[in-house]
Amino acid sequence: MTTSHGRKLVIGPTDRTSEQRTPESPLFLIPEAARESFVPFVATLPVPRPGENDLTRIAAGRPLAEGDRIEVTGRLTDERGRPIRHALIEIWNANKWGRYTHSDDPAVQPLDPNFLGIGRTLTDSDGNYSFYTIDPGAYLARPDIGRWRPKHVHFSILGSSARLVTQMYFPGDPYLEKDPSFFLLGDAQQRHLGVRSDSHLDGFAGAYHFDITVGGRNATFFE
Amino acid sequence: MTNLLPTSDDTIGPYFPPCFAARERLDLRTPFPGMNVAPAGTPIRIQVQMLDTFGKLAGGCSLIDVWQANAAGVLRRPDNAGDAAVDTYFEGFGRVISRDGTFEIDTVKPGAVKNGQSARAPHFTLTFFCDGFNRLVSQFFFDDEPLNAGDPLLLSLPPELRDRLVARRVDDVDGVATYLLQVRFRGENETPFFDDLLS
Repeated sequence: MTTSHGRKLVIGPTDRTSEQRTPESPLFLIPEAARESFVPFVATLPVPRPGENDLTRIAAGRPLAEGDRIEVTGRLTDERGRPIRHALIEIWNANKWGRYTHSDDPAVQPLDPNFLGIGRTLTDSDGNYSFYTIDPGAYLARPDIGRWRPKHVHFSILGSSARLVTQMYFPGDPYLEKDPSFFLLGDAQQRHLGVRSDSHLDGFAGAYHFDITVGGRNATFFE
Repeated sequence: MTNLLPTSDDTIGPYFPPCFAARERLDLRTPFPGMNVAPAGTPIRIQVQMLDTFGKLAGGCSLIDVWQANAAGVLRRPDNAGDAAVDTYFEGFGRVISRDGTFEIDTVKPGAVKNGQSARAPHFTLTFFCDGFNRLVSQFFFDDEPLNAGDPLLLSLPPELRDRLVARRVDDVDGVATYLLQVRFRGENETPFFDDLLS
């Protein structure tokens, strides 16, 4: 280790919550004698029921949600490209109009009674995952200054010792340029854009591929 | 093998679905509700307050991961399930949500973790996911543990910062030893957080 400090976290522009909660001090490095204790081991994960990776309906056999259906697929690996198997991936996204089903979302955009906006799955033995969801709308994050967030899908990764919360964005979105969260990705921005292709599924408007690489020593349990 | 560039942390946002964790009090003491089994050790409750730069509770929906050793000071690993010192009724990992900047952990007091010839002070690790930052990780201690004086993590910090990682014993609640931990994300008495990517 050549640095004396860890990363200095940066505040997202025009993000008031970020100004109030981001530490001023750089992060501290973990001494080797304590490093292993920072690696959690998740021994038990929930087992999703079939269909929990399909956000386009509340439940099998129910009406389709409003909006364009899209596939979101990818592969979960560590930095050496080894698959992270049987990890829990949870996603959530806004509906077609940019409204979250969350009870705190004050947005005036309508709710869709056929869209809950949450899904989960386990990666397969090669680290692959797939979801079916609705192409989300941009949402108005700061009505006071008219700042919209670009459309995005939230991801949470949990399994073995991997822990990551991140977002997939959509290429060409006009709101990307002024988004504080996207800004903070810096050099990594390109990797957070889903790679678009046509979907082979009937009735789907497109497919996005989003490979996820869990970095650092926590990705897979110390060997 | 090629080296892939890591996917970055990004904000969990204010609208993380609470139903993914659902509890504002995490219970690590009751692995099988309704069954007459429990992990070994002294039951404790840890009350946590998350504070912003004004010293006010950092409200809104947030998610916190909890990780600790069992009462014997053993951390679970993929390869130690068969060890006698592993408590089969204690996983040591859990997720909890907060809606108002506070949450609670019902658990057992972690034991001192062996570290070569010496022992780490009893501790627990919290990972915070919250609107306003992406992910913050730190490790916390108890104010009634003499081993704190020699703990390598505490000793790695400037002396004036060490107390900020220590939970204080307060009055018992429901007959259970209770600790209060204040986590200051920013500002005066800011909590030291650790970098588990560069370390």
